[in-house]
Amino acid sequence: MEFNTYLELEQFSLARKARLSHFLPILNQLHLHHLKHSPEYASIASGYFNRSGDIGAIEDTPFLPVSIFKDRLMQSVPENAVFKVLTSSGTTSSVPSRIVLDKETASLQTLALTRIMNHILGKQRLPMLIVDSKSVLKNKKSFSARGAGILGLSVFGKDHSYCLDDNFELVKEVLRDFADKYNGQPILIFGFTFMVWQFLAEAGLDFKLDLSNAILIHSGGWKKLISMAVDNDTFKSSLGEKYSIKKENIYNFYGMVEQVGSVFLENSDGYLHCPNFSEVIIRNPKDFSVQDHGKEGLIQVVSLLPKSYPGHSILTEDIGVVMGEDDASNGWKGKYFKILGRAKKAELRGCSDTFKV
Amino acid sequence: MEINGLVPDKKITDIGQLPVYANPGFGLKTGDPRILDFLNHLSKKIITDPFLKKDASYVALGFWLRKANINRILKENRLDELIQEQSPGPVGLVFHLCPSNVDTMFFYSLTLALLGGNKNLIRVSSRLEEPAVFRLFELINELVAEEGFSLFQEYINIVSYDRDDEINELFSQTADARIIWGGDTTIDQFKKYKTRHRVKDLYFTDRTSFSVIRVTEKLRDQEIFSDLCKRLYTDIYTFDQMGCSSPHCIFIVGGTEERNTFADEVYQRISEMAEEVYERDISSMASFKLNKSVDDLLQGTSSVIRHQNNYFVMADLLKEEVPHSCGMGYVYYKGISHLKDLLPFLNDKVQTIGMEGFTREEMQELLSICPPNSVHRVVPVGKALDFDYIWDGYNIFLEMLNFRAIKK
Repeated sequence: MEFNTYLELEQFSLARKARLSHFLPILNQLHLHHLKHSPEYASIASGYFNRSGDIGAIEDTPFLPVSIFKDRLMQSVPENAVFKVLTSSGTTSSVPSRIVLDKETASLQTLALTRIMNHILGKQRLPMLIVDSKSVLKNKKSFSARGAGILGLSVFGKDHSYCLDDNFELVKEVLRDFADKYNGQPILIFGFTFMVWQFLAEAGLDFKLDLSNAILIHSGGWKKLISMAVDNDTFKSSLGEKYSIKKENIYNFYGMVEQVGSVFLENSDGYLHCPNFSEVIIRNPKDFSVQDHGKEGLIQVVSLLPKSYPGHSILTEDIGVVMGEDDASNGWKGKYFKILGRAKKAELRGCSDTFKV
Repeated sequence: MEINGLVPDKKITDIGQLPVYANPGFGLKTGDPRILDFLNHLSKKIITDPFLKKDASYVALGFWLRKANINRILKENRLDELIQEQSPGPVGLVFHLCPSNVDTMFFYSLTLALLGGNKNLIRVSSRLEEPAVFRLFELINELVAEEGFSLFQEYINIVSYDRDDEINELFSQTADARIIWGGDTTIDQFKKYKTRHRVKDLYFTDRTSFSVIRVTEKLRDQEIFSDLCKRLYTDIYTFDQMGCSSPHCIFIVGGTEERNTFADEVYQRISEMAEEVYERDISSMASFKLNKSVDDLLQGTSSVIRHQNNYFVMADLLKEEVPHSCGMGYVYYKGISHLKDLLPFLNDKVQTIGMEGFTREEMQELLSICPPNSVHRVVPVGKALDFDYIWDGYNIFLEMLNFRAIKK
């Protein structure tokens, strides 16, 4: 199947067999493309993975450590084809990842994200409430992961309202205006998980905010909330009690700048679900062998989108576990997983660092 | 000014509050029997402490502090003759800057200076967090609180504080000697401070270390091979391979074929051992090592990387310089035909060579041809991390003495 045809297939519609027969040939083409055009990828594929030809299974795809995009500029297109370089730093690290995009890959990313979002949002653009400050978008050169997430999703909304000010304080008037205009109507809300909790779920409002037809998309991880003993269920039921937002309309979202477009959305069972463009593989940290479903390990993400840079197969530093495949209760096909946390950064101290902080 | 006092255990806001500054006199003589007695008591406390006795590096320290071992150091330095001929005495107040990777290091440094009769101010890293080291501070505090050992309160003060130029300089200005363990950056930092004109500094710079193994018939014996691997494991994994004496490269001496077979076997055995006993988090170890492997491939440092088990990674070395590994069991290896092929790798960064399969004469010959200031220790494999008073070219015990000429 041509990639363009594949892109048009309905999201979350492909069960394992159909998926493999379409996914693998496209992935193999992508792998061969990067072998040919990225000397770094070729050198790692042969030197580390002993693989310099076709791949016979998704699991055979060599993977790059996610940090390589911080250390090096990786590209599989000639200089004159570079359309832009995405840079984004995580929240904790100051070194940004740099992702080289040509026009083709950039538009593939947009297309893929649109396909995934349309699946839950429908095709119309909804009034959008962003639980963040507009100031996170100010540094145009290097977005934080937060800024990149907001920008990526803004295109699916209209009449954007940011409900935090520059000091990251809640501006209740923004919420009031939003409520006046859109109470009870279909709207889109986006924010980082802990900020949605802190500023929305825990807000004391003296007016009614009716989110009974809202769709909430949130990302950024549970670390902070878990330390406050807030899990996904608590998160959803609190928001539901307060604003009548429906559980099935709250979606956690996992994506990264290294694979923009092929994001993972939460399914009805509370797990992150692979869209048609992505696969997730859990690797045993001991030897990088593939873990069975139900066993935890480092998360490898495979995406069909990255063509201008060899980011189609990345080993993250997140730890997760595949919870099942093709049998989600909302009918979505494909693998689904959950994230358990991040690999502890072992802090190694050398003889020579008495004074380093 | 905020200084965290560990021995004695209290917050300090003015350096004058530290007992090392309390009394201008020096009541202890070089090699004073009271010092040996004190150390011996501490040794017993460490070895019998229910918590510390479970930790190999504290047990090693405990044994090192025993009277018999301390007497060995004095004897090897011919202390009796020295006293007759050169009237040694303390240098004065010694300021020790200790690394954070080896919790027990500060006490070795302290002991050698204390033996000379010096007063000691020790700055340990404010990032120390292993409970064991705090237990050791407790034991010291307990011991100096005993009536017979109260004199040592003004001989041993241990503090920690966050990076602070003002405090660093104050301590530097009052010190008669400084022992700086922190590597190149720390040395540069401390050279900037005002000091006494006669200050005596010992510098311990950034170093790297190797293992050199000759492949011999003998190693075909499984028991002998296993024993070698155990010792190699100890050298590599102690302190997460982050000590300056931890080997970063294994040189294998022999014919091409036997070298490769040997590398395979060593890889196999050591990865099994590490998997069984090494306790670092395997996910972070795997990430670290994958990053390093990828980096080495792309830099042209290595072309063949053994990584079947992320507990241990062995990367062949293509360059004529040994890079620093990422630690936690990541070593380079290089096959050579003769011991003298090692020469290009021996520069002033090289500290310790752990050797296996060579005679003392061969070791001495190697030392005689390598450049000055390189290779300060040649020890059997398995002993790389064993501390002793001769270190990085210094005899630390003698360096902390003041010699006087008395002529009749």
